[in-house]
Amino acid sequence: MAQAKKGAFAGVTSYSDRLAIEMTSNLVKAAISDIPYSEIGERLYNALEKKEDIKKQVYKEADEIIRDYRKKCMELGIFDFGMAVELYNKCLLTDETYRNQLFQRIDHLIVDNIEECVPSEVDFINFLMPKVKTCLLGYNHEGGYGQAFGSNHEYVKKQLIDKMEIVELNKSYTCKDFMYEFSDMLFDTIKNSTPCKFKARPEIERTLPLELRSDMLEEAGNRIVELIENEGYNPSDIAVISNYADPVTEFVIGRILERHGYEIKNLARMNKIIDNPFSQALITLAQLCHPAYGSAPGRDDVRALIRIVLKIDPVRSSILAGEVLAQRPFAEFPDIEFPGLVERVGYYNIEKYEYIRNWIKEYREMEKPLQIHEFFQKVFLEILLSNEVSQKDIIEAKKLIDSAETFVDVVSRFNRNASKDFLDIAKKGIKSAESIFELEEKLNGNFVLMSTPVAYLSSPLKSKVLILLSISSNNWTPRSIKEITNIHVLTKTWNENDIYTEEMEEQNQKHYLAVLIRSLLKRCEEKLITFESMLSANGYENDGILAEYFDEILTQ
Amino acid sequence: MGLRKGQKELVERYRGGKCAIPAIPGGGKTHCLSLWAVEMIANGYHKPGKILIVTYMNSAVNNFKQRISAELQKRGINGSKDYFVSTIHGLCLQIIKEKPDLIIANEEFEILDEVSKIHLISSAIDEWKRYNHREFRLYLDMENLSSSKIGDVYKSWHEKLCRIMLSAIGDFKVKGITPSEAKNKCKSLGRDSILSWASDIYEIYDRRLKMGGYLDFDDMLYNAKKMLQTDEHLLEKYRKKYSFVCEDEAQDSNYIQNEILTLIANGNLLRVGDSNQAICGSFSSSDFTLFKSFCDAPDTTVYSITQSSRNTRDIIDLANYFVKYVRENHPVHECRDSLLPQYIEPVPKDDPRPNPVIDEYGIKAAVFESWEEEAGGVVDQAVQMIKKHPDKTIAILVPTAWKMSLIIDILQSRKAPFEQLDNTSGERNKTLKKLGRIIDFLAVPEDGEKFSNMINECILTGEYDSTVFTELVDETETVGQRELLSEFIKKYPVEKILYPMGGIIEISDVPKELLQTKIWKDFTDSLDIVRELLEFPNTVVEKLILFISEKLRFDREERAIAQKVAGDVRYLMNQNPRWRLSDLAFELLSPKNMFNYFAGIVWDLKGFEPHPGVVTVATYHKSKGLEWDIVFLTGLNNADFPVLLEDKFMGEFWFLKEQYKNPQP
Repeated sequence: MAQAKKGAFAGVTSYSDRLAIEMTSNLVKAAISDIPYSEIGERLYNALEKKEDIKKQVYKEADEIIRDYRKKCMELGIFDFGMAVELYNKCLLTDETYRNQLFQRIDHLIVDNIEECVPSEVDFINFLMPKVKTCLLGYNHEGGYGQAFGSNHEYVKKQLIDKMEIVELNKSYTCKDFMYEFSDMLFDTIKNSTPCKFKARPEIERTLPLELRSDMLEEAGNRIVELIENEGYNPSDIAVISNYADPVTEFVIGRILERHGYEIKNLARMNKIIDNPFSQALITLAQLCHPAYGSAPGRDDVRALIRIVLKIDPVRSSILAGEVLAQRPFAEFPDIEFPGLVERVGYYNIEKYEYIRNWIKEYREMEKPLQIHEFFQKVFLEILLSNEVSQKDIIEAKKLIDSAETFVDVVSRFNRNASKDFLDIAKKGIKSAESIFELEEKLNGNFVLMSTPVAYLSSPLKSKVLILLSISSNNWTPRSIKEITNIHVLTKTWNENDIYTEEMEEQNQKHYLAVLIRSLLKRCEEKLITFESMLSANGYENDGILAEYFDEILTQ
Repeated sequence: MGLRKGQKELVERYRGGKCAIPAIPGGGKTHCLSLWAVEMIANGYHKPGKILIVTYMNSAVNNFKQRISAELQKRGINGSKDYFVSTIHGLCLQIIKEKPDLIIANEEFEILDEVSKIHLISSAIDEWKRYNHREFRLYLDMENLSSSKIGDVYKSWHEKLCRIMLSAIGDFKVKGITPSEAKNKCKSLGRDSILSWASDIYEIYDRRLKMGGYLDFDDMLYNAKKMLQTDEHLLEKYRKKYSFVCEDEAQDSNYIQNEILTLIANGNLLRVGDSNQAICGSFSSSDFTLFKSFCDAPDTTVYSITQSSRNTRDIIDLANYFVKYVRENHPVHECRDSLLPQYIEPVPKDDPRPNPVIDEYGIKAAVFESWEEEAGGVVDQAVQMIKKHPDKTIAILVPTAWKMSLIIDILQSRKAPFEQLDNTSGERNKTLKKLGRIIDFLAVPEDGEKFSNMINECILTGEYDSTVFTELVDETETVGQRELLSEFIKKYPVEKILYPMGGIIEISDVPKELLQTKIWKDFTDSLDIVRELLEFPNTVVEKLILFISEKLRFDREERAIAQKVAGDVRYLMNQNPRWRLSDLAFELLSPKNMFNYFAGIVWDLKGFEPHPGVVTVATYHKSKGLEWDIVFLTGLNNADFPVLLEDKFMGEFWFLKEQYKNPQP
């Protein structure tokens, strides 16, 4: 999208994919807050405290790109999430027949966690309310951590709460009294700078700052093992909350646990399609079968493919991969007569080798290549499926096929070779979809769970031991103002004539942190352990405020 | 506390306002500044904010941190949140991270290290050259060049141009000139002006920088200053956060750094430095007169530290003589004021740490005909010294990295134990190199050479052959175990070693003399690890790296570096899906690579301690603040240290037309 206009965004220190993400997310935020998409840039610019020509230009360019994008979508007859909301609100909801149908269909309305509702949802509830027989809204007045996704707690309060009869549920089933009290204090101190003191107790365990992030991850891993082996906790009693929840964190802690026979699962979706060797093999085969796409697979990938399908040792696989890539005009499996080939492939593998070689050859000779998802299905059934394929691999293949199908369905309308595009983006590392099955496994298995704060709060989980990593990191207070967006301005409760000041930003950051940390602590039943490192993953000094609040409140 | 003149006054008296501490080399600045900070914290004088200490290098940051925290601990005070030690860039980063949107930057902006900066400038020059080939050749002495040399000359000129552009772009940025402003200003200079080229290249460079989501070091300084100047709220926050601002190495400060610290300081500003040690002026924008004028300001309290116990009387006399000579007899009059009349005094005789008294070697000088002879001669002497004084620490200091390489070559050929003090080599780079060797092998495991390199450098790192270093270069040697093994595995098919068809290695193929060695046994024992590495799926490269670090039992610092590489790899692969294992290996194995910076930070945490019996090789710049018992100073000649304006300097470009070679002012 950002590439549509060459030379746009001069003066912005950012990547084009990042800007594209910000623009699409702006579109969604505008739609769910009933803000016309053509006014996004102006609204954001008007709210700026420091107005500069260069910024005006940037917002103007963003608006232009969005306009072109919308136009293109209309021409091609596709719509994205933001447009879907807009169309629904503007076309369907204003249609009398549809409205009557809707009212007839719905008698009872139940909505949970309304504090995380986006304005459009609130409006929809409001719209239905007079017509339904009963309306039950679950509301956690302490919530509101979903603001990054457009939720607007303030709007919920304004529009819904007063209209409802309120049944209060004051008892907490997810944490003990002291934690309840501590989390409220922490909230007050952060949000309102109320001076509070809380007498330190062993259930709130502050680990002294470690020098390096790697020290911290290892110490956390070791502490988890102690909790399980010496203090009688089950792995599933423990949740590790990290703002990164990246593969390094997962691997470092995971390996320590593994040595003791335990496992950690990451609730945050971080996996790329090509992370799974099986999916990677499918993609490599696709590259080999479609020379016309002009994307030759890499040597590492061909070697991995050979290892998977022919079960040859890595050294010989690598030699063979070299031969495959050396073939002209395009990489292919060499003829069996090729000198020394039989020895390398192994006699017992020759039959399989020949089968694959011929399969690819025949496929390449087909007049019209299959759509990429059909190709994956065919390869999966005819080449890869064997007794040794695990259930996990089958799920991965299924996810790949599903993603490909959806992608092809949409992108082919843009008059592009969608199959080729899919291979390209898969290589670029798009994330893999997550099946309900996998999620279910994460939530219910006996694993230590790792998650980002918001992903954890969005799940129904609570835990006996809550471990917070990197509490001196700045990531706990993300800034709402980004290069070309601002979540507080691009929402319904924002007054167009106001200026978004630094004081507001500071208040908003503190508010977010206060809400987030209180909600997290209230999901902690018995023990809270914090970790921090002086230096960040990049070797820079950590100086976030959360650790300081802990220090301020806790007294010996 | 053993405080000396000047130190005592600082620690006991300085409680606010402007204060300058001019300190001679070896005066114990870090020691007394740390003690001062502890004294302030212990008494709560620094409240309500923190003490900020800004110093020049990461190693110094850690040195300060360790000293302050050790002293606080000793006194039973928990004051870790009461002070913050940082480089100026660390401080600027902190400031910018507060509000990256003010400069329209993504919050995850990356900092372009010096190595990548050169790459980026070089590619910007390439782009510029495509449309400006005439200009590129304009100053080259094409007539006197043979056609066979043209390629090399283009390459050299390109490299030199990189350096020129680096400093020109730095100058633009420090002065807050944007690319379009630069272009406008340079328009009237015409197409033959190098400055006008610089404005073109600056534009290309800046565009690439922004699209990559990068800020370079100059951007950080400039933007931090701009943010503090334009955003009162932010400035107020920093003034509240730091109630005392201390600048170490103040003689190396530059204009922007000076402004930033003065802005934040809000009155309480302590500067420590030595104008006679201002060594950065020749290659950076630092300006030692800033410190001098701070000292001279009427409202600045000055406590001078003049005593040092680092050196013998003879060395102190020599240093003082040098200062006096420059001030009174320097042949170029304008240079006489470059050193201040600040002389080193030895400590009183009853000082608990007196000046060393050494009769055995003292000060010696030698004259050589060429650098090659000099390097050889110096290494000879150093080797002699190790033997004669095995308990002493020894250093060879060189003026340039280029000269360092010959010294290293000679030390290596004599098998003399040495350590290179350099961001991009030796210890600091060891982990990256290890990872590189392994990944290089994993990328092409059938390559015997790579297999041998990995085995020798990463797996079988023990001593197999005696390591007595030789005094002569070409002494004949018997073939060692390591060599026997290397010769064999380089040539023998790797698959037959790791995955022999019959299950075991064909013994009849292995040289008999190798079979009997210890290294062969260790080698065959280690093959399981190699196989484990090879069989680990390499689709997720970051996991592969962490797996390597686990299997090779990396120590704490090495693990930190491996985790950093693993974290960055994911990002790199996202940026460039065509990246392969071999590309990663290539990056890791290049002496200057993108991970050096972090590796440097980690190794700096350990601090540098010279070891007796091991020769430290360092540039003069890097040796600052360090101590050895015996030091060889090399390259003391007009080319490396020009005295007269006619002296040729190392910056001279021989391939340019005569009139441009070494322009006289």
